[in-house]
Amino acid sequence: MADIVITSIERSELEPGYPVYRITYPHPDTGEDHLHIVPLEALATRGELFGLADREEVLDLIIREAHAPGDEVTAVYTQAITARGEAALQVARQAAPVRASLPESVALNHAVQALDAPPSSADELRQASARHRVRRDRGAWSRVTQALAEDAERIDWWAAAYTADALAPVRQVLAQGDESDTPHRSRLVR
Amino acid sequence: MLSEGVYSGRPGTQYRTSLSDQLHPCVFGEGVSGGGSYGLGALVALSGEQTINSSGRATLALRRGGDFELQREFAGEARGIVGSGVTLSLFGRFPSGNSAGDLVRVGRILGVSSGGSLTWGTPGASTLYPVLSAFAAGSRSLACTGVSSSSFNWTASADVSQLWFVAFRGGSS
Repeated sequence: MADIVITSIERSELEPGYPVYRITYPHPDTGEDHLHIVPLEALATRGELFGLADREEVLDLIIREAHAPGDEVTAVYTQAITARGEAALQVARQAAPVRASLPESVALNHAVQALDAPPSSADELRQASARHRVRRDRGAWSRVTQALAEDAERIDWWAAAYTADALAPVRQVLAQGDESDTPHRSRLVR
Repeated sequence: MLSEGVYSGRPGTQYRTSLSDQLHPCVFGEGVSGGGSYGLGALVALSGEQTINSSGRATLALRRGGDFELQREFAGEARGIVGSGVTLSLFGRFPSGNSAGDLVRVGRILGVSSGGSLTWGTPGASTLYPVLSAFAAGSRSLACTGVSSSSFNWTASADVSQLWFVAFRGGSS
């Protein structure tokens, strides 16, 4: 198991209005200088997707997975994204036939709960990323901790945006009544 | 409902909404009576607009002869698709953030060391394959050394001032 020791973290923007961390560390396998760009949005989306509230752990995983086999990482994400989307749509399909007597806000609240409910793939991601270890007891990790704490509210905002994005197809299903196909799929197949 | 004036004196089909917009969604064939600004013989569909020619609407125009447009009108910078003759023009910006289903993602990174990673803000539902290009004072060799649906890695033979990328989503999901 190779160690990753963070040497610096800086705030920047990839584009105006799109905040990122620029994190540096020696590449765990080659020792070469390595720059890792991590958007604040990434911390929010992985936290939501894998049900992880500890953002230090989220960033730890983000750093490690970048050096894990891509196919293994992609498989975990595909599973997690599919499960998350299907869970919310399932709630919407059940609610759609009775939407006249069920306020949309109630159905959306159930859908939000469903987004959190699918079996977490966090363990699979931890396993796929297990070839490397981020050393939180060395280097600049204390500055990482500080940055994450200071940016907690901004990351929360990105998490809310990610949830809202997931609810968009749910609202479409609710609006269409009891059609059982997903709106995206039915639109593309036609 | 059929109307003699769905938009600026043009006869066509209007889809009345309960909104108090000045323009309701409509479809019409462009003739002389409408002024012909969409091209005589064009089939035109307009979305509703709160204040005509002021607050923004979406327009689809299919023109006699084969030209076409699908774009936003009267609201800030251009956004849409226009086909004119053999020219296809795309207007708009790529988003700062991403969605899981994006086909294409584009961006640049400033002040890049010789090796690095970019983690996507929103992961893809399948692998995203980047095409990389470097901007530097001298020649550089540049390689993508890892991809997944969540991030990509690169190495360069020396530091570069800018790294540009265009990533395409592939895979079966």
